[in-house]
Amino acid sequence: MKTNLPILQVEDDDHDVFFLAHAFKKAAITNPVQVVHDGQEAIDYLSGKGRFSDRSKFPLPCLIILDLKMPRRTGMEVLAWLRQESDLPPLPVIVFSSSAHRDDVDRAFVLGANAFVSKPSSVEERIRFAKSVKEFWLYFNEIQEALLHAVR
Amino acid sequence: MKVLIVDDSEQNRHLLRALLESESYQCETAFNGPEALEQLRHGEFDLVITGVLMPEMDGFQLCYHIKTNERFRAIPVVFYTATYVDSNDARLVLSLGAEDCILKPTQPAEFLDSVRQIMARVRANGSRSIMPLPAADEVKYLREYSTRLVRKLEAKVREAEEANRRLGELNATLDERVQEQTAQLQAANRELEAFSYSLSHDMRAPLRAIQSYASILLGDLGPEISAEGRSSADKIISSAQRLDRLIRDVLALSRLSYQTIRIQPQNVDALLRQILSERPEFQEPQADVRIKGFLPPVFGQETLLTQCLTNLLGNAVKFVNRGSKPHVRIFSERRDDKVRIVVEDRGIGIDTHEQQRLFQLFQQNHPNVEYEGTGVGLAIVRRAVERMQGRVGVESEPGKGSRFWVELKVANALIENQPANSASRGR
Repeated sequence: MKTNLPILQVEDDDHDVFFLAHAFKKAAITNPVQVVHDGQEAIDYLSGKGRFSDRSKFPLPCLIILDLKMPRRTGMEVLAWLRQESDLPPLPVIVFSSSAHRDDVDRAFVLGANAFVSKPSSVEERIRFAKSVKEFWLYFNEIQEALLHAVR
Repeated sequence: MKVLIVDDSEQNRHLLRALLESESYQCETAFNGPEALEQLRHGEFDLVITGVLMPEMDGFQLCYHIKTNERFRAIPVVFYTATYVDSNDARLVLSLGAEDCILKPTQPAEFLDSVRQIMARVRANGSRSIMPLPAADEVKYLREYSTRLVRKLEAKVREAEEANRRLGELNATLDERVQEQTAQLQAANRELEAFSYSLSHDMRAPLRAIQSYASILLGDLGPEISAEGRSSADKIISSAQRLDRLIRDVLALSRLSYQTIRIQPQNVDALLRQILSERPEFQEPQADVRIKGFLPPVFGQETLLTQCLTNLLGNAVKFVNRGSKPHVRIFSERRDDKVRIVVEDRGIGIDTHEQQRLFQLFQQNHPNVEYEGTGVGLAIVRRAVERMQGRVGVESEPGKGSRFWVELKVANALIENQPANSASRGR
């Protein structure tokens, strides 16, 4: 089941980038993690524009971990673009937010998020999250295979 | 001298009587024409002062009856009436045999002056009498009379309408003003809420980062750093946790103040049992916490009540002598329509001096690390209880223990989710 497509982390906070990388390392996730720092960059990456035009260097991810509060374009805008405007296959998206405001959760799912996770606040919780991402999204979930075919 | 005051307003009768009696006139009062005639029949009067518009028989009719009655016709009649009297009114009044018309409102001195002048004139010339009416003029006279009355009534109605309109205007602007102020308050509340929300996020995010970096440092490099280095990292973590609790508590306290709440009957017994079952620190083997008897339902709000009980229980198990197991009893005392929920411990106790300021913000009585807290817990309890229209208090003796109590109104209404009774169980 296992492929090595990248995980795309859309996150403007450098601490959170570091913490997730740390947790992924602890969980022994081997997929490369591509990091973009705001919503616009995420859209550029996914549509292969500008510095992301080389698909062999910046392949489509098998999972998107998407923060909501970001400069330029928000996570919600990225979601809306991904599901409504882009021609991309239905890439799995985990919304990864520091607030689980009821309205945000509802809206994210309406816009096509596959999961909504409140950012864990402790190291241990973050490692638990990384391990379950590995188990479910990178191992049991068949999406990687499906994507590989869709992309080709 | 004896005066009969005729007016349908009790206030007017009272005022005129007080005024005239202060000048040593003797007074009787009547509230309309028929009653005035009744009074005249049973007593001797030197003067009748009457209003115009009165129920059953108006002042004009009364005057007509007096002036056409053999026995009464010598008694002078004076009208005391409101300002909408025109010259035609005055003419009608005189034609009815009245002495004069005093306009309302007048200064007391002027009024008394007028009465004195009228009486002097009557003494000199005798009282006026009704103009004999030629039969042919009667119709004309009656028509004029009814016109006068109708005009007076119309004026009264206009006055009432005007008063009504002004009242309506006041009401409308009052409504507007209330709405405006409510909107302003709501906007301020929303602002405060948004502020609290961003405060909680913006302040807690870096704190969590501090905690995370310190625990990554300990976890990944622990064996490589010295004992002193590890202890410093531990202190970074515990300080950050403490600040995080403090921010959370202050936010909870501020939320308590602006949140709108609905006070409803609460099954405090079930709520308390749930709190105890959810927290290991309130259970064996960590602590001996028991509920004695059944706690009756009270009026409150679930979140606030949970905050109160959790804080009180938390204190009860925290403030014990080092190494001894907390011993806490919870029970209720009925006081009229109130229920006192008592949380009693056998902890270190609080001396009388400290008890005074215990419920104020940031009053920590134990700077000792062993009993560290945020100093906000009891302030939260007090604020929450006040919002539920209750009271909170403490009795304590150092070395023996404390009894914290919360007093709320008893709710007799049936509470849902009562534990099922034995008859319905297990079928």
